[in-house]
Amino acid sequence: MATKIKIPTPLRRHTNGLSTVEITNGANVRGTLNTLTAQYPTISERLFDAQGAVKSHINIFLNNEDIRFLNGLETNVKDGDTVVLLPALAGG
Amino acid sequence: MSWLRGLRCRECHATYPIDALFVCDECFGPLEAFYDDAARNAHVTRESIAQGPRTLWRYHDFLPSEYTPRVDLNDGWTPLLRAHNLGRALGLNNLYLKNDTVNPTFSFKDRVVSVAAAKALEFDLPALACASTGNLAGSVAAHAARAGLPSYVFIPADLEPAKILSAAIYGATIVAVQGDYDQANRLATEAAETYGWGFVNINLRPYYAEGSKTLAYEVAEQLDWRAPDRVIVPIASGALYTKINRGFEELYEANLISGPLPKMIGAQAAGCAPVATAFAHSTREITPVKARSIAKSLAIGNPADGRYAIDAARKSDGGIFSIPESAVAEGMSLLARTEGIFGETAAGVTISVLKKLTDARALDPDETIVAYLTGNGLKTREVIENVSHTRIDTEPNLEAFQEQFEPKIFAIA
Repeated sequence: MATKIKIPTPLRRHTNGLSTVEITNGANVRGTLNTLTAQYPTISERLFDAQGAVKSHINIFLNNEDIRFLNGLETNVKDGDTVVLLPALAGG
Repeated sequence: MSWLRGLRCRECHATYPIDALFVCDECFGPLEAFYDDAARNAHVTRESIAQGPRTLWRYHDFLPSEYTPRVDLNDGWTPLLRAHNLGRALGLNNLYLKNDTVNPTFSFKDRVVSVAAAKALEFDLPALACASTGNLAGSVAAHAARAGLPSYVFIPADLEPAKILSAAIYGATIVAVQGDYDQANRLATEAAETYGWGFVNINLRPYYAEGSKTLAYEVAEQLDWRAPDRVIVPIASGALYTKINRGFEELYEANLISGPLPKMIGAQAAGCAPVATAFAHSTREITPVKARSIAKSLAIGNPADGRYAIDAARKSDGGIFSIPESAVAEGMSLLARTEGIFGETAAGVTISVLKKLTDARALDPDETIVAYLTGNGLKTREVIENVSHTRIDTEPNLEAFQEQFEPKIFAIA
């Protein structure tokens, strides 16, 4: 199955400049990101801390929802889903 | 000249040139402006500040841009009022109100937008944009109009109509996002990567945030160059709160005020209180929430500067507290009836947190306290439409009036 991962500008130098990466095997968000980091190893330490947790300044969305409101990294992904990586920002 | 020297990551301290950047390439941490503090502090005096314009730009030595009249709508330099009546009601003898409801677009956002718009012109960006809970949208639209730029504002579609109108009137393109603020913000963050616009709270954020420091500078100057003992500030993303704290620190480092620095009190409403919750649990890790508050200008469920707000609360011996949603309108009403200021929901939150602390006898009655009123109530009048009041319906003659009026008044007496 195919899941799209959208890569934010600061991380594109780790994906050969690609803004979208298609992942074909990943049952959940963690698996999808593991496949991403296997293809582009230098992105790993940008996304995860030494304990394997998502760094606090990175927000991950599955389609339009923050995965922290779903099942975190264990949230299931299905064919056609989009995972969006974004820097944490706010201020209205 | 500006004393700005570059941008620096708040987490890993990597440095970057002065440009429309906001995220550290190394660690994804937020970038902040940094200055040649030593040279600036040797240069700036109370007198040099007093010679500046009667707007926030009198503090340009502490800001990341030169004074730019093309964007200045007379932003800032708002009144600091002694609040005798509200003080009496709360048992406080030295209470002051910083009234930012009277800024050009009726909220403190004019401070941050003025600085961001100046930077957008400096960077020659083609448009101003933002994600907004409302106040920011109006301010961006107004400053873009003055600067002669188009503007694009991303707002949650269910925003108060008055806030939508107060951006639309300036000619802004309204992007009404079917979702909450956090989702509007997410879309804007993606759009910022796609278009070359100056998103004031995204790719201009390191400069934008600096404008909030002027709320500290003005209060100190208006107190005749003295720091208050305590300040109380509403919290949404936490940026305003942390920058007011930083502003007082900078004045102290520049020998413009003496210590101690103010204890920082933060205010949230229960429907969206992730920072107050983290403070209560003694952690700086913020658990995001789905915002469900009538105080929409504070309804940021995923506050990016929350952890820094908690750091400032702890370091200053302050605290971050929440009040029930029902207390929001009560606080607005108390403020309006005692001091004649119609603040928005965020002001209601601020005043109600202050009341919560005085009810708990947590404050010294003689300390100098400044409450920040950051936006105007006319934009959030929906929440107080059922406000209790005395109403007399009468025909247009004195006898009819007296017939209606006197029984009511005697009944009250």
